[in-house]
Amino acid sequence: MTMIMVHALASVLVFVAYIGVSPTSWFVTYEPDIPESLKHRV
Amino acid sequence: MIKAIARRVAGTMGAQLQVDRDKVEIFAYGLEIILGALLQLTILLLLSLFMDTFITTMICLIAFASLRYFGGGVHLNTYSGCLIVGVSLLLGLGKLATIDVSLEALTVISVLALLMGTYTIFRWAPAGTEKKQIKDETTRLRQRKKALLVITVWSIITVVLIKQKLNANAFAAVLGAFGSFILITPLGYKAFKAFDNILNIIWKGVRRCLER
Repeated sequence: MTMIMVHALASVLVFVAYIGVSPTSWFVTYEPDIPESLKHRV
Repeated sequence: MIKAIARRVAGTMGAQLQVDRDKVEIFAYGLEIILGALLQLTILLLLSLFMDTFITTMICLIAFASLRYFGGGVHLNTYSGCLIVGVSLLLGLGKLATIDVSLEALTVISVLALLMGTYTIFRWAPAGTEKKQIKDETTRLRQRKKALLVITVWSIITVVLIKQKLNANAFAAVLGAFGSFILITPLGYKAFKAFDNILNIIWKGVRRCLER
């Protein structure tokens, strides 16, 4: 059960991260440093 | 602090899921976005309730965030700076919206905001940052179109609010949009850069005092 929840949380986090590097500005004022592995998507 | 928490949680998740370091960094990035936004929103909600400006502040936030979503704009380098400026700006605009303005004045301000917004979107949107810039012209054009659609919806809502004599709410929508437009312009970039420098100076001073 715990592993399912961790997997679900991981999926949500990856989804949010991909929106974060999309052209739409997900952030109101602050944007965290983009991880190297996602920089090519910017 | 948010970064540290995000990294720690992402590290634990990575160990449980047995994924590589790249994936852990993506988890940390996603978590930092969620935690940062949640904290900022919670503080804004509580302070606006305390200041009795909840509705106007929320309308400001919706107008501000929806335009920023497609129009982009300046960002601060540190989370603490962002928290202070973002919350103060929206609370200030929310409070300002409670000032009683005449229908004529509100109409003039709304039209000026609409003209300024349209020009700003055409001229500078989507406004990027050092961390994220959109260079592809097709994507830029698509973002501009979306931002203009948001301005159209925002204009209709503002007119409806004015017609319904909900002047404070209409004023809040205008101020929220105005705040977003300013942060797309070079003036907004200069102001935020100056504020970032001031925060850096204060932070260095504090660190020196603590080290002594």
